Amino acid sequence: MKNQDMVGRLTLVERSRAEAPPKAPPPADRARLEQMFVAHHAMVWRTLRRRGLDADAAADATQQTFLVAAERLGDINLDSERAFLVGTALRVAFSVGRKTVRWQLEDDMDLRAAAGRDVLDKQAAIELCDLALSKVDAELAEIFVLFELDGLSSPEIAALLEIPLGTVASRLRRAREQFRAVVARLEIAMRREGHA
Amino acid sequence: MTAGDPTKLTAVGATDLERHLLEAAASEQPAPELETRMRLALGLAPFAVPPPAAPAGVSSAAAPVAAAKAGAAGWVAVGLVAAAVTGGVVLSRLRAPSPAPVVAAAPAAVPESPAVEAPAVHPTAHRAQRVEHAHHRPAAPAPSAADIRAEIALVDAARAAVKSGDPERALALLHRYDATYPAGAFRPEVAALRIESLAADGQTDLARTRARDFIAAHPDSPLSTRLARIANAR
Repeated sequence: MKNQDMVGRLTLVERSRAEAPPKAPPPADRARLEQMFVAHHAMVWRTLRRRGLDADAAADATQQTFLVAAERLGDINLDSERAFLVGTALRVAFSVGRKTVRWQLEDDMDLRAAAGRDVLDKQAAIELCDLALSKVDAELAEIFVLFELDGLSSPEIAALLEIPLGTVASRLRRAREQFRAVVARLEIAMRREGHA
Repeated sequence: MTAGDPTKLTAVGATDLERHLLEAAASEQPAPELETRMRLALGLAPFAVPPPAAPAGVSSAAAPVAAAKAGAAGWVAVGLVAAAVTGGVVLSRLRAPSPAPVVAAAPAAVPESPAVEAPAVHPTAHRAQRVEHAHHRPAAPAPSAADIRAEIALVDAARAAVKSGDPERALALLHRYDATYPAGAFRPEVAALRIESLAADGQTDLARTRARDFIAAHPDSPLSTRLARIANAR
């Protein structure tokens, strides 16, 4: 199992780092890390939030993502910082997510309950978006979030997930169909509640 | 976005509700306290340091030099305060070359580094992430720079007290932190320091219990790695 292998290797990585003497980076690396953090930390944090982590867990995972980046600064091209960070964040999300998994209800009970929310409230809108995403097939939602919310291009997504460009396009199309169908049901429910 | 890419849904074809939901999600920001926590854990300044403005009377040619000096001084100060607060969680690798009072470093739980150019992700990773967002805390008001510095000073003093073998003073300082900053930015660090102070004070059973509680509540925090020794003590 690929992911079990990954988790197993993490232990080795952590152990080797515990034994390795600390190494002070040159000031240029600190400045680069600061620039990367300013430019991308909110995007990384949002990426993790959309994968279902709460605000605190997303902050912890963002921190871990940038720790990895700090270790690899010299290898990360300036024009691939975002893709590197998103890819790392997804891996971190996977490793921490297994402890916080909670499956969504399969029917529309939660959708009907959500229809009572005031969509003009930004936090409510964010939660409704996450709820709608939770109704989209997982492998489709992945593509949808990367493209529509994280702003990655189709080739970047294809490289990130190691899938053909055509697969990215077809999954994005199906993801949109599912997302839009859920939001349409939500809108109908909200109209009934007088919130749309 | 590259040539040939489809257009984003928010740009073309979205209904008002679709656009509203997507734009809200795409503009969500971490609360200031979370940003500060992340920054400190990474050994960065607790808040973004704007480029220093050239003082009046300084020529444009001299301004970059003055800015560089101010920036360097800022980094030294940042290294000091951040090292004091994070307890070397990250600065074991990223600390500035300064005489900062860095305590015993604990390794941060860092996942395997992915490939640099195209870090591949398991395509079904998202499936494991379907959780409800039922627990959104209201965002705390942004602490001022002065507040942050005062918080750091208290945490720094408490850490120094633990290191110098005075856990009673450390516990008193941490109590003062709780009373002064009930929604402080460094509550997790303070909780970890309190547990270490209790252990140093000989209250091993209580320290062990609290360490285990902390680790259970924050299983992914680097602070939990630091507290594992106390939690597993017999």
